[in-house]
Amino acid sequence: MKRMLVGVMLMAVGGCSGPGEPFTHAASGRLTASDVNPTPRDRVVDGGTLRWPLPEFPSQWNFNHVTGTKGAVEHVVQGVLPYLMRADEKAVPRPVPEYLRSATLKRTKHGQIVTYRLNPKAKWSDGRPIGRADFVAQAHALSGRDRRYEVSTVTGYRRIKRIDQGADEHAIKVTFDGMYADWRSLFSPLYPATAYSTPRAFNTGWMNRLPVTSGPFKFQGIDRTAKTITIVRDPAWWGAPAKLDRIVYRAMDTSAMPGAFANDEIDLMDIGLDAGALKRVQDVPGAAVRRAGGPDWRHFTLNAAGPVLSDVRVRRAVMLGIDRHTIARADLSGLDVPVQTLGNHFYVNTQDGYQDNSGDLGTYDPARARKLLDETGWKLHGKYRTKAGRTLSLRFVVPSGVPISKREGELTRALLERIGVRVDIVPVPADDAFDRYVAPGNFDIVPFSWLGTSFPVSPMESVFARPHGDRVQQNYSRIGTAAIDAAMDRAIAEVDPARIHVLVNRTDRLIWHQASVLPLYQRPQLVATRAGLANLGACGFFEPAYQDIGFTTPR
Amino acid sequence: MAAFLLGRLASRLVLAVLAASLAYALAAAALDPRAGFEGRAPRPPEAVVDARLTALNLNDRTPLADRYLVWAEGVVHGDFGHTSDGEAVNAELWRRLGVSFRLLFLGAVLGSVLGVLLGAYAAVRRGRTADRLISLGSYLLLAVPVFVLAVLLQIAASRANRAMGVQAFVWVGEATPGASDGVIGGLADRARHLLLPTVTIALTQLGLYCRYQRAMMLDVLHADFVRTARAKGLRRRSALLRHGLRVALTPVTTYFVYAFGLLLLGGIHTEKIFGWHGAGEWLVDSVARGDVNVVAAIVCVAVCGVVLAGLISDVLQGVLDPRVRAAE
Repeated sequence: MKRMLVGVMLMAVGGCSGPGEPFTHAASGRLTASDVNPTPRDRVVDGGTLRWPLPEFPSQWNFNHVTGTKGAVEHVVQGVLPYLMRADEKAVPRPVPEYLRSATLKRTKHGQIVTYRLNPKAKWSDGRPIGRADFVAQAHALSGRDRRYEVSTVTGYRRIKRIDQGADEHAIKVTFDGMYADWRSLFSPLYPATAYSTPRAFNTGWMNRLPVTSGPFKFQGIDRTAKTITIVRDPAWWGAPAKLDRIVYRAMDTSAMPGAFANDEIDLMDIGLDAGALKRVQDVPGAAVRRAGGPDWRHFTLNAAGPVLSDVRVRRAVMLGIDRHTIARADLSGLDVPVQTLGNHFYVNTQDGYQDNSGDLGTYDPARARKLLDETGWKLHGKYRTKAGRTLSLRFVVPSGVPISKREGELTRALLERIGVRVDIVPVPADDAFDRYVAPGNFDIVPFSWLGTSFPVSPMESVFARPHGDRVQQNYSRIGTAAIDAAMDRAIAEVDPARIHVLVNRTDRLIWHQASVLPLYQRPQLVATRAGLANLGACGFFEPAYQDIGFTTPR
Repeated sequence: MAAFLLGRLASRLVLAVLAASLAYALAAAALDPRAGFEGRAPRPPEAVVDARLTALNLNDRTPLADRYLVWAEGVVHGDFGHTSDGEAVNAELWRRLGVSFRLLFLGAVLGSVLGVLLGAYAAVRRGRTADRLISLGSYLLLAVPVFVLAVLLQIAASRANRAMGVQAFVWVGEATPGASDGVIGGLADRARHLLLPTVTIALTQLGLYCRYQRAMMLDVLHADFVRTARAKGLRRRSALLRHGLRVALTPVTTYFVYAFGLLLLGGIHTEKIFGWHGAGEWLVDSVARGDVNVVAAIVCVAVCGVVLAGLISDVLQGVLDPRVRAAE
């Protein structure tokens, strides 16, 4: 919980590569989708060690285990395990040719069939070829049918009905019972059948080790006292060989990273939104700061079950009375990034399919806000509005120790005071903020960040689905409509990317109309790297091809 | 003396059991390991989370008394259970305590010895320039928070590195990962990594001991027995060293023993800023994660540490202070 409120910046410590756009944010006033110093392989030198800090040190390296689904695990396994698909900088998933030649989708009467054509050279480090057995084991383990597998999520895999061999041994036919839009997210990463064939192997086989790999790098060792994990170039890799000799990941507290980076003990670090850390690393000779739009987005959740905000006109007035641009500018000050508000509940600005659906709620309009409030019967008496003897006041819950939230609260108080709404800032212990305040609905407005993904619809379903009594899932606004539910179901069941965008944006307009969640801005990613580090940096949605990461000058 | 020590030991053991039980109850009641799972999007299946928490004896839906009994039975057999990641607490605890000890021991000893000497010197030179300078310095050290001091040292060290053009100062962790220069090279690398954290700890400790020792010493300087010693014809120097310092050292020793125990867990900022993974960092991170068994285990160690520190200081007092032995 805390992670969502305060720790989003701890999630990702840099890391992506590929053909990013040129660095143009300052000129165009927009964040680039990714900023990774894209360099052709022939200009990257062979060899070198990359020293990569992790904000925590996982002991479970099975990403699909309930304790393994962490950014730190992903940074490592992306270099050593198969990913059938990887997202580009606009979050469009594309096949990774070393593993997957093609994937084709066929609609059937009752669902869909995806045919994967694997690269015949693809094999595991134990010599076995990657094939149907691995698909079957992973689909079974993550289906949720066997309760003994401690899985992180069953999304997608539970809809797989059958997995058959295709025309030859490298073709695999996966049959789904129904349409599933995000099928491209499946089998990335893919674990070997030996890891997933028994619950015991699944739950404990990858504790403190990565026994089987298949990628440009292979596992070398873990030091549990120093909290380091090392991966080295795998000579058995059938693709273009890795440029780096090895990558040493090292866990350290985020407070240790600026000093370590300045002293050339690590080669990159996530700056987060910490202007102080930015200042400290900016002056380091031979360092570069990469900036891109990240997948996460900041917002205010309004509690539509509260006594005042249950009236949609009041919620709209509050949204009109909050100047999102001012808040975004305050939050992002000192980071040297363009300030842009976000107009969508599913896609962020740099994502394929993004469209600003905020309509008239997106612009600051205190005059209209006042008029709306007058219409609802909240009349101005002195400084604040009252109705039937009650003052129009809202509780703005702020986790203590998070300065950004506190500042947002103070700005909101000043802004809403202009339209006669009193805002009481309620500081609460950061650890309790979700359990005792947000989840039970003990607030009127709360600021936090949602973690974005390349596949935003299925994860956000639990945030916007209509609550059933006390079962709100993650819908902390406690409001929804049958129309939104139906629209989301249609979007999830669609497989054509262009149609998905249309359906998702239609859903988004319904949510804007409901005025329950106010998106503020896409969180930028700031990553400090050695200036000579190529094909890695602030990646946005981009997922790295680890064999291309390297240095442009010998180190 | 043995009876005196045994009596102390028994009462302290009772205290330790009570404190450890209370600590577990408090941690189990206040911390919420479930929250970490529920905050994720997509949220893990509830049955999985429940089964996992139950297996680790962390499930808040099991009555606290039942969880306590399971935990206490484990502790009696020397097993502190598992972390929320599913790791054995015991193994990690020893690793972490080892790191903390290696990080802190040298700095603590250096800081306290230098502090005692400087404090004693300042007391003897009371009111003169040396005393004023030492007092100013120690107040300054006391006023600067550890993390500010550490960051200042880091900035100075990386400037020095750049000015010299060689990487003389390094500090992240105990050693450079993968550096293989044989035993000698490895030891030198470790020593290099230890330098900055040791200076940080020594400086913070120095300020404290300096003030403490100076005050103790001033009390003693005007005591009758020192005057008597001088009157017997002892020189000022030997009177001060043999009678003054020794007496003034007794309370400081007790203080050192207790303070080192606390330092072992309280070195959080030093550990975090220098990237060492010791017990202090583990405690803070575990509280944030809601990792009940880890918090309980560390508190147990702290309790044992305090009991042990008490015993050691009893023995030391017996050695240093003849009145304790005579009191039997």
